[in-house]
Amino acid sequence: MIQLKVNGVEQSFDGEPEMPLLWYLRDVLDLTGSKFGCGAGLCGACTVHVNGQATRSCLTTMRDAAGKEVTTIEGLDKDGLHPVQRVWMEINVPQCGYCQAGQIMQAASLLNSKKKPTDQEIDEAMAGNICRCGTYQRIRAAIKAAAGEMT
Amino acid sequence: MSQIENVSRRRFLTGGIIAAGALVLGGRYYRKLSGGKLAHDTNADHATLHPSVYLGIDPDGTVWIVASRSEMGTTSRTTLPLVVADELDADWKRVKVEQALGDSRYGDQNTDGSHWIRSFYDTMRQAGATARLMLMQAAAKQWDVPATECESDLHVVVHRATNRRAGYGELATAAAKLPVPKREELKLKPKSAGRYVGKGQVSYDLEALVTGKAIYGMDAAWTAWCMPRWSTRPFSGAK
Ligand code: FES
Ligand code: FES
Repeated sequence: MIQLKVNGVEQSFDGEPEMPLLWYLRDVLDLTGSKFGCGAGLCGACTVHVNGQATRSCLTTMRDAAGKEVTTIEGLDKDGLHPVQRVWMEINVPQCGYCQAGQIMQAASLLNSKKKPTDQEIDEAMAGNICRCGTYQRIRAAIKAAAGEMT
Repeated sequence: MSQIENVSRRRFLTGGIIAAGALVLGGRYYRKLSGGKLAHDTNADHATLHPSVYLGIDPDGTVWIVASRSEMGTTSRTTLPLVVADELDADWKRVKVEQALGDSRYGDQNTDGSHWIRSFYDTMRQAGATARLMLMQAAAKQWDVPATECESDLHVVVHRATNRRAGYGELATAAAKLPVPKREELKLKPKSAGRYVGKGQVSYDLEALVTGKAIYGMDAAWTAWCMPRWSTRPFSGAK
């Protein structure tokens, strides 16, 4: 039996330990905010926080997630108003939005570790998050704006 | 018999695959299906004033606008309703956008070929203009003034000469009793009089998009209905 915390709630799972965390979040817990894009660590659409770190949930097995604290876009802030989310709305970052849960989780994790990231640090941290709509300039602007808001 | 019930499994699967990347915010549709009935109605259909399949107005002033194209990420779900709202002179904050149902009255609902604005711009304007004219006629009747002297001004009809105003919601019941005007009777507003079109509005779904609440094709789940859904193995290589 695998125990883990998802968005602050204790969960136990007795299925395949090799099952990707993304499958568990989407199909078992119905937390469909995290998206499937490639299933191979190439796009970042599935990014969640595992113990506070941005992590590709498609490559994280349930075994890896055992005993960990997982946060998804649904749990980033109970009102959906994390500074990153607020700024994302102010700057109107998303187009179709499909990649955005991953982008937001990646950005939030970056800002937890670096209060004032430089352009280069932003580009490096966000390089694995692909946006088919090409919202990259707005993402970068939003991260900078959010950096000013997070204390 | 509605179209969706007749659709063959093969055609359905094709549609499902095409829609896999699309936003399908049709929660009502899902509930209706899972209830075992395929009742073809939207909130717009049930609204007090409902002169077009694309919109309805309730006495509390809520304007329901039906997004009849599937959202593919190009914000058709915002833009087309915005054209309706502009022509209606509605307050966008009081507009609720709802997704069309699987019904042939909306056409194919495709968002392919970058043509939805070109193809539906006039239709959307006419829908808005129809409701606006009916509201002005209803007000004119109540005030016993010529309808041509009435104007709209952001969710209200005004008669400047006598300084009278009535909200769209208040007028909905009376307007619903009037005959739906013919297309030739409609007077479209000059483009310069628009409040929204071309002014850079954000997506109606913005908040849903940043909170993970937006439901995309691949997120849709049907419980009490046999649906082709991607059946995934617990991990790759598993039997
Ligand atoms: S789905 Fe996980 S990186 Fe693409
Ligand atoms: S907003 Fe469409 S993929 Fe990024």
